[in-house]
Amino acid sequence: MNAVRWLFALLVLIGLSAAANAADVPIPPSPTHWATDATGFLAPQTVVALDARLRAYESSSGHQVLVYVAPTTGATPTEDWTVRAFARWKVGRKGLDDGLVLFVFPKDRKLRIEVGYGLEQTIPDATAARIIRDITPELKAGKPDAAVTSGIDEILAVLAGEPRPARDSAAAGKNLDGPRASSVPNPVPVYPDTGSSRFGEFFGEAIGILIGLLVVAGIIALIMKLPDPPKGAYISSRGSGFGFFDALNLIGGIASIAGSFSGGGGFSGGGGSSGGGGASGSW
Amino acid sequence: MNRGLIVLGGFVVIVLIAVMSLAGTYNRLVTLDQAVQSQWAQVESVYQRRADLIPNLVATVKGAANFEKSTYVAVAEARSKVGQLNLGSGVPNDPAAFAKFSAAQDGLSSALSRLLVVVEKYPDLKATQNFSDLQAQLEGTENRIAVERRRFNEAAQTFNTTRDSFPTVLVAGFFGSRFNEKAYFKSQAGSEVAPQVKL
Repeated sequence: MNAVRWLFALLVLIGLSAAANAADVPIPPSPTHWATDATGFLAPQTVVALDARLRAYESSSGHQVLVYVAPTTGATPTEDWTVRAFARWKVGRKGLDDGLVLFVFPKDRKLRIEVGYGLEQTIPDATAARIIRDITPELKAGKPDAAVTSGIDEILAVLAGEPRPARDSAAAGKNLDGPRASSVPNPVPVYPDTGSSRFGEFFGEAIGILIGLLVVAGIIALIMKLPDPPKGAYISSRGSGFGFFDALNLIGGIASIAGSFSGGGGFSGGGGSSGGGGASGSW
Repeated sequence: MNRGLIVLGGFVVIVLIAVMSLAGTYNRLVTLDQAVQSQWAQVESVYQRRADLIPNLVATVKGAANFEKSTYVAVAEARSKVGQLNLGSGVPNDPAAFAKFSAAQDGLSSALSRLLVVVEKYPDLKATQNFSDLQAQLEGTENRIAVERRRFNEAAQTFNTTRDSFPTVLVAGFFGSRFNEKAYFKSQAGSEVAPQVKL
C-alpha cells in the first residue's frame, strides 16, 4: 500500500521537475562577470572595459551593476524574463536589493534596465526610461559599444547622485527622482573567485541528487517497515509517526539545501528582489 | 480492567495524534493563506500607484490644445470607479469581490490604453518632458502590476494546491469559509501587457 503511494509521489516529483526544465528560453545561471556578452554583439575590449569598471564600481560603492547581453528571450516577454533573471541571479546585496542590470537582446532588438527595490528611489522609471531613450539612437545607428558604454556612464552618474548629463535640450525637466536612497555603509561583500563556478555547480547538483536518492531510499525502507496508520487517523498519515507530509518536508528541505549548495559559489549578491521597476525600449 | 485501560490509552493516543496532525495542517494552511494575503497587499499597492498617477496624467493631457475630451473623461471615470471600490480585506477569498476588483481595474487599463493610443495623434504633447516622464512611470507601473499579479497567482496556486489535496481538503472544509479557495487573475487584453507606445 505505502510502497504504491510512494511510487506515485516519486513519479509526481519527477514529473514536476521535468515540467520545470521544459521552459522555453530558460533563465541562464548567474553570470560570472559584471559584463557578459555571449553573442558577440559588443566588441571584446568593450566587455573587458565595462567589466573592470563595474567591478571597481561595486567594490567602491557596494551597488552591483551588471551588463548582460543575450540573444533573445524567446516567446517570453522581455520584462517577464528580466525580472525572473534578476531574482534568480540575486543581483544586489541581501536585504538592500541594490542591484541593477542593463539587459540587451540584439535578436529581439530590445533592451531593458531592471532596477532592484533598493535603487528604485535613485533610479525611478522615468529616469531609466530617459537613459534608454538616450542610448537607443546609437543602437539604431549600429554603434552598440558606444550605446552600452554611455548607458552605463549615465547609470553610474545617476547612482552617484550627479545630475544626469544633459544630452538633449529638454533635460532640464522637473526633478522626479525623489530623495536618494539611504546608502548604508555596509561592508563590501567579497566574492569568491568565480572561475570554477561551473564545475562547482555541477558538483553541487550531483551531490544534491545523490543525497536526495539516498534519503528517498531510506524513507522508503523506513515506511515499508512501519505498520499502516491506524484507522481513524485519516486526517493525516502523520499517524504513523513519520508520515507522508514529514517525508515530503524532509525531501523539500534536502532539495533546498542541495539547491542553495549548487547555487552558491557563483556571483550572486544575495539580493534579487525587484518588483519590475525600470524601463524597456526597442530599436 | 487492565484491558479497558489499554483500550482507553490507545483511544487517547489516537485522539492526540489526530489533534496534532489537525493542528499541523491548520498551521500550514494559515502560513500559505498569509503568503497570499501579503501578496494581495502588493497587488493593491501597485494598483494604487497607478491610480495615483492618473490625476497628473489627466491634467497634462487636458493642457494640450484640443485634446479629445472623451478619452480623458473616460480615464477619470474609470479611476473614480476604482477609487469607489470598498471591498475591505479578504478579497482573494471572495470570488464576487475579486471579480469586481478585476473588472474595475481592467476598465481603467483599457481606458488608459485608449488614451495612450490617442496621444499618438498629438506629437507636441508627446514631445514634452512631463508627458514622456509620465508615460515612463505609467509603463513601469503596468509592468509592476503584471509582476505582482503573476506572483499573486503563484501564491494563490500554492495555497489552492495544498488546500485541495487530500487529506488537507477535509480540514479546510471543516473551517468553512476561513480557507476558501483563492481566486486567480485571468490574463486580460491590455492589463497583462504594458501598453506599448513607440518612444
